[in-house]
Amino acid sequence: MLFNGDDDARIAKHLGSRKGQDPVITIGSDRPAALMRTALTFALGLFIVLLVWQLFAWAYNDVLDRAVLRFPAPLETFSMLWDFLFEGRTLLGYSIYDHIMASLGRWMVAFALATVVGLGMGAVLGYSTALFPIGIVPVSVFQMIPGLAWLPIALLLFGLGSNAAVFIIFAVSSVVITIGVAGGIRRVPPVVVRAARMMGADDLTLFRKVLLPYVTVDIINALRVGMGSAWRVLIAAEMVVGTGIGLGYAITMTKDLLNYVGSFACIVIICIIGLLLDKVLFAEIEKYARHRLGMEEGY
Amino acid sequence: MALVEVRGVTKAYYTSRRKDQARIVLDDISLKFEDNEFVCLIGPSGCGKTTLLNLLAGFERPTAGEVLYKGKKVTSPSPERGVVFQEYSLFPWMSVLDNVRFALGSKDLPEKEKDAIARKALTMVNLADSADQRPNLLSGGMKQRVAVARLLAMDPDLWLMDEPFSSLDEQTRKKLDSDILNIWRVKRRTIIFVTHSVDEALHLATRIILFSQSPGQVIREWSIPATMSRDPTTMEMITLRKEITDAMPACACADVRPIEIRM
Ligand SMILES: Nc1ncnc2c1ncn2[C@@H]1O[C@H](COP(=O)(O)OP(=O)(O)OP(=O)(O)O)[C@@H](O)[C@H]1O
Ligand SMILES: [Mg+2]
Repeated sequence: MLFNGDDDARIAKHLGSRKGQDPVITIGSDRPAALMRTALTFALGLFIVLLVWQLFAWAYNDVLDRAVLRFPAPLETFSMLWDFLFEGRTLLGYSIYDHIMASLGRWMVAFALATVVGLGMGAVLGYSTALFPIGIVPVSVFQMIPGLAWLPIALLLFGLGSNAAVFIIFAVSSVVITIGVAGGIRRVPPVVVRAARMMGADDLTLFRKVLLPYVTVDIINALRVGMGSAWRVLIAAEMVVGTGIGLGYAITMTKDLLNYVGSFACIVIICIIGLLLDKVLFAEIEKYARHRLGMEEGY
Repeated sequence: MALVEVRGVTKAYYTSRRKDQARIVLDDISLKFEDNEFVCLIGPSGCGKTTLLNLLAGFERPTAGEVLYKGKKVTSPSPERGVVFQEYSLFPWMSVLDNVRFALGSKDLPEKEKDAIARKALTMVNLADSADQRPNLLSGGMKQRVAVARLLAMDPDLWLMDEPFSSLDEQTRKKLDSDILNIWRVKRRTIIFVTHSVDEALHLATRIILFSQSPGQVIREWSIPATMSRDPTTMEMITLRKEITDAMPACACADVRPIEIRM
């Protein structure tokens, strides 16, 4: 953003309270108001989603009137979600929490493996100017494979079931992380490396004390993008490899059983968990890292 | 034996990524730098001053010829040859103190002593109060002073300074110039200092080397005894200044200002 008119408007209101020639003006905390604004903005955005959904459901069910199957409206969906969450209603023989934990478990295993592999490969490719042109070829090839296209390979390796899903998530997110980390290391300005070398840093010190901190934000961003890809492809993978339990599996099964409201409830849960992971967990980690690394602009 | 010897050094770079053309940046340069000299390199922008410092520091290798340091060929950077870079080169995630301590990383000293040395270096550049701050909260002049403190702590034999203060205002620059001069007098090290400003060079140097426009070659050198008065209003200084500005290659990009004659 080029201009921040809001800031100026807010400060201008307090210009009158300037004490003599003192250049510092007391303005007071903006935090409650800022939080309120964030909450309102978020609520407005959410309202638009619900409105479009409601209008669409209404048009589909009542105007088009093709009503072989009803299009689930927000209210029905949230009421079923309530039953799942708080009334102990089961879905395919499991509680909704079992489905959530199964999905999160697969996601964590796959994402942890992808993090280890992605950080390792990304570090090597980013660090070595000789290996990068070679290594980036297979990585780019893999990157072009859409998540579910890993299915045949996953089935050949692991057969139907949970492990195949874990493999697909791993394959997709490790590539994303590798590319992000390698890119981050390659963008480190030469003067930073030269300064460290001039001060006598050896390879290990250079890597640990200079390159790693420098690319922390890139690494977190790579993990964040990888996390998002992993979460999306997890659901897709569960839908096709017959995992028996999990949110993706629940969506396909409820769909096949024509329990569309149940599918929608699962989709809502998926969105909420994904948003929480990205906007709360990773955003906070990134903010903290930027602060620790002295990389925020201004204060 | 000279501390540093540059023997017939030519440096050329590809002009494009197609690698079908190279341009010579430094053209067969031979120079010697003795112990305890304060050498200022001046020359128009793009004539290869930074490139020469990079070769002296060991960041890059010459295309032809060789750079000798204490008689040995320079092949990689070393803490014996400290650099104050033309651009910002502090580590933003470390406090000012830790930035300076990093320069002692390769030395085998107890942590306490490293701390003391780093603090002393910061005191010498008047930044003791900012030791715990992050560099991105410092002004430009303060940042360059931290870069100088890094070298003070490292205490290299050879100081390579690439226009360290050229982005600062006149007053601050003069203050820092005097500080460097004091450090040089106390520590008796060798300093190679790049600048665009003839005045700055006249104030600091025991030897001034003038480079030609690109491709860089040495046009002329002047020796100024360390004991000579640097008062810019003396006849000697005025004459020397005129001699240097007259010898400078006529180039729009060179920083040549008309002489101010003060009475
Ligand atoms: N790594 C590089 N690759 C290609 N060309 C380079 C490289 N480094 C420097 N050059 C070129 O070499 C020439 C000299 O650059 P150099 O930075 O040494 O100039 P300089 O004398 O320090 O100029 P200034 O006073 O503006 O800092 C420039 O034309 C520059 O484009
Ligand atoms: Mg330069």
